[in-house]
Amino acid sequence: MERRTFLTSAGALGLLSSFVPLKANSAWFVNGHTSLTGRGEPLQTESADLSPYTGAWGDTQLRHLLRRAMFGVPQSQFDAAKALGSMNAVVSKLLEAQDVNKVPLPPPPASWVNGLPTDPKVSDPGGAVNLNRLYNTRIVEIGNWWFDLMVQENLSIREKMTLLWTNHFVTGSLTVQHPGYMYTYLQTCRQYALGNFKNFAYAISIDPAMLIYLNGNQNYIVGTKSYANENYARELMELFTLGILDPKTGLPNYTETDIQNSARALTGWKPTVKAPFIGWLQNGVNTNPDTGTVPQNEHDTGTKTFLGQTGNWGLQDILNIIFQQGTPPGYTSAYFVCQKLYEEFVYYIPNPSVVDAMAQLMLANNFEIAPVMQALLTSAHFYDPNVIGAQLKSPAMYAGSLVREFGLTYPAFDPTDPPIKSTDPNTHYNTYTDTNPTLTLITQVIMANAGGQQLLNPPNVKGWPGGHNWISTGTFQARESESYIALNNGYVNTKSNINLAFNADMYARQIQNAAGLSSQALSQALEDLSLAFTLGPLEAGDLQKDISATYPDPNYKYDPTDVKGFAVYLTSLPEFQLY
Amino acid sequence: MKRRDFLKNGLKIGVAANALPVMLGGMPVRALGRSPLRSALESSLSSNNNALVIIQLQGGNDGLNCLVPFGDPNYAALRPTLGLSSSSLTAPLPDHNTLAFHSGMDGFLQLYSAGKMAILQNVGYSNPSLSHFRGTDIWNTATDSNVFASTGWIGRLLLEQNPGFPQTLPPQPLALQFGSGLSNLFLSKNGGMGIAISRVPSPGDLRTSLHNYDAIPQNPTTQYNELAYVRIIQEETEVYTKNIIQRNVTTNKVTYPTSNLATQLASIAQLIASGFQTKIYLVTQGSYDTHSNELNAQGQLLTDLSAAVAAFQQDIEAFGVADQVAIMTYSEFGRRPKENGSGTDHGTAAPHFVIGTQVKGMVYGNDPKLDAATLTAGGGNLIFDPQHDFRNVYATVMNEWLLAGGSQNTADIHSVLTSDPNGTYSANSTWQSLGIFKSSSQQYVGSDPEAMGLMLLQNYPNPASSQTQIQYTLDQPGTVELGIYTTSGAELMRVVDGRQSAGPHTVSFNVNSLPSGSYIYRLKTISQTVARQMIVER
Repeated sequence: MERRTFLTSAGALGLLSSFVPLKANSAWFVNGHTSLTGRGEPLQTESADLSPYTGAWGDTQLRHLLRRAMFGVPQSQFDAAKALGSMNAVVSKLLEAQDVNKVPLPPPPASWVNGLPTDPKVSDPGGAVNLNRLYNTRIVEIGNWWFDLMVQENLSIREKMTLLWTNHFVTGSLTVQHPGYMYTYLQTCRQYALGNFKNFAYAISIDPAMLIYLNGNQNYIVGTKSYANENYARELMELFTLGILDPKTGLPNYTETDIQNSARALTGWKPTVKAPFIGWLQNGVNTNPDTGTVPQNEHDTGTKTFLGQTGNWGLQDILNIIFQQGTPPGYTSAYFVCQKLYEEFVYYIPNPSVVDAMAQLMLANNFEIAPVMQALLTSAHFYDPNVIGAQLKSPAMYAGSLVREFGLTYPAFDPTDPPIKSTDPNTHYNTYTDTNPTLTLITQVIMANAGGQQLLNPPNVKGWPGGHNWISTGTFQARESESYIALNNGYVNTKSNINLAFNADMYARQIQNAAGLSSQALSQALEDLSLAFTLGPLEAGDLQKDISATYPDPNYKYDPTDVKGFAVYLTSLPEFQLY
Repeated sequence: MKRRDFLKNGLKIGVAANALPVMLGGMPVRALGRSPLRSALESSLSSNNNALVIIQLQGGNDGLNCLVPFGDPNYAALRPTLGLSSSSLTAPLPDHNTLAFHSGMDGFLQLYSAGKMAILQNVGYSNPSLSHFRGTDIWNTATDSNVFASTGWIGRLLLEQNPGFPQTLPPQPLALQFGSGLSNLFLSKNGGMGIAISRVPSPGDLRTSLHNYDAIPQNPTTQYNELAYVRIIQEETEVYTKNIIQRNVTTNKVTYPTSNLATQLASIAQLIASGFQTKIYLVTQGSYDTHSNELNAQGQLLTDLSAAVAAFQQDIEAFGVADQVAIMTYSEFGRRPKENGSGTDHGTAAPHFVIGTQVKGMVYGNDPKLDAATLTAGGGNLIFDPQHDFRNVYATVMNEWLLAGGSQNTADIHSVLTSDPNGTYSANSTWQSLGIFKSSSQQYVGSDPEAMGLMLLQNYPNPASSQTQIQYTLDQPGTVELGIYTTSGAELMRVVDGRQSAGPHTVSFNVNSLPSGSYIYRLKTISQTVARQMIVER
């Protein structure tokens, strides 16, 4: 270890002592309102459409596919996927979740997602302050449940798609402040992860979390007085379905008047207070699902002109008109959405001609998402050497690859309803027992430090910008620090019940016959497991020296202690930040 | 291979493989050369020690409930619920009794009263975007509303001054931002000119590892260009984390409030007091996107803002470094004058603040116009003051503060705000230095409260060779004269002479008859006269 100096574990203590709850945690970083338009150019590849990949189906291609579809790839899943034989077989397996009958949605983490005290004064001895803390604790629990699903997932693209959609149809738990709504929203994103985008847009428009987050619940009329709130109408077009400018003409897709008029069309939608949490239209006809009575009309039934069409429009009409924009009809939305898919799965700078091909395919399939993903993941473009290894890891990818590839262990997700430990509102937020403190450490501290990604809490309605924005001086340093701690001594704090452990022997033994390999072969196999790069002689040599105490080593003897140093060094390489 | 060499190597290969989208740290490698335009210029940023702390009020701060025109009856009428009355306001500004701050902003009132705050009214731009993200991009990239640029004005300015970046990393970051990802405000064609940190690192965070690096291979695939980006970040992390940890001031002279903003400003005060050469600091506060619950939400944010800034100012004064620090606020837009439920929708113009011991503290420009006719003309939104186009504010901050003492300010400002070899940012080529810093001998034009709405803008193009145009806005209909004069006052041309309506006017004319030189143009109405200088050059 002489060529690099690691400081002592002061950092570990620093991180743990700063282990703070969701709300206070925002002190660790500012949600940068940054749209990283400082972009280079799209990838230049031999194939710039969706022509199928016909080249060799080797380990490189398979690992690339799995890395892009999931959160890191343990050797066991690589082997299982390899056993499937062909590219098409693996892609079909990954996309199987498009059929929720075949791959059912995960059951709720706990019963409380469908029932919460509604009146803090009555239901909670600690009053409103404590109730907020309870809500926050439970929102953290949902994130923990989700991260656990991500890393436990079998060959499937579902959770990756779900994360993408929560970064497209963005809501934020800090604003929504309601675990039941956040759970419902997450399940909606999961349900439509590979479904029909048009239906998805309708469902999300009346999703309780969205109605709160973008003030849909405050968009209403009373008699002739309009309280039309433009917030959702604007983002529906700007960020969810159309984008500001037409991709072909460069002209604006809509005007401020279109925003105002569509806001009127969207008036009257309300979230239910009681489970099941749904949105319903308060139009003077529908029954309030909470009370069973028919309340006064809050929906504007007047004539509205929207994108050139005039009528008594409501939500479905607005969406129908939106999904007719462009040439051919619907192209504008299809292109806009496919751009998001491309940025997530291929490269953070979209290639217009590939996105165009994706949009055409999406239109041909009436906005079904799965056929587009199927074509993309089997395209020659996707397997181009310029695509492989060129994405920067999000914190979820970073944490996922640490857990999955290095076999970090944590106590199994415990769905127990967190019991009340104290009702003193002056104590730490942790008046409620955190039943999953290790997962909380990952989702609320490690991922936040590694790039400001707290699940279900993007910085703003545009979501995490991604790309180069994931890696800055601050986040890079945090990533180096966290993998060092996790792989060196593990995150262990008996007082807080935190136990994120690393077993170097188990890690190495993912590789078949690990103890019998040469140091060169073992380090190579472990590099292949985690890096989308073929290292040059200096870096590969350093790693080999790490894994072998007696380098050069004709008589190499496997030793898990050396493997630990190897793992720490591997994760500190800039290459580890790419996939 | 030494750490630094990978950059050179990457560069060499990048140039050879010009057909590829070669990127090094996000910038096309071919652009790394020293610009010929630059070569003649001295590094004027090193000509002074002035630092700028930029506070981004994210989400669109409602200017009308921040600096409140409480004396305007239209204000209360537009805001029956949200309107602030005396119990929710500070005392009126000592020299401007139609305005008062939100009651949480006593710190701002103190700063203003002490002459340390310039208030710029109705800052905005034409054809404003009401989108958070487009609006933020426009402010960060400093473009006309219809121009899309990928670099930020600070990034372009810093690259002008440091053309060797990043092959030569300065010992301290050129710009520093609190946040997890770098704002496009700091982007230049050579990549990020500043660094982003979540918080000030402590010794326990230092976990650098000195790697051997293999060179980027010949004909690199994209993954190697991205690798070069991460290597640069790692390099910066090592250099700057250590530097920040080893700063020689680690305690503040005053106690700050507990908000995130205050904590970050406290850290910035330490860095400046430690002698950091970092010119630009960016902190973000928000969200000001108060579609609902505005009274509580914005009130809390403004209270935090005011208290944090006041503490920071006290602190840097106690450290004795206040004379080299200015603070500037910005936000993607103001909010709509007419309230909507418990909040307000997205709007346009808003007041902004430049704070420091070196500003000429006063209110610049008129109170926002809230009458029905103006709001109708603005589609329900405020009309911005053309003189307070946000690029004029940037030009002012550059000319009178960041570049003060430099010899090439006009050329530099033109590169940053109008065009450089990488793009055109605005159709306008002339920006005004408003005269809000003590370093400037410039007289603020149009600050006279009597000159309600009368505006005379800089002619364009200037210098002019043949055709040039002048924009002006009349506050009331009436007889108008616009003439061109010698610097000694002799009239040479009469461009406008007659009765005109209130509102904006544009006049184009030919200066072919004028020899090269400096001239005055003067707009005269029944009640007032405003003049500016123009140059003829051919």
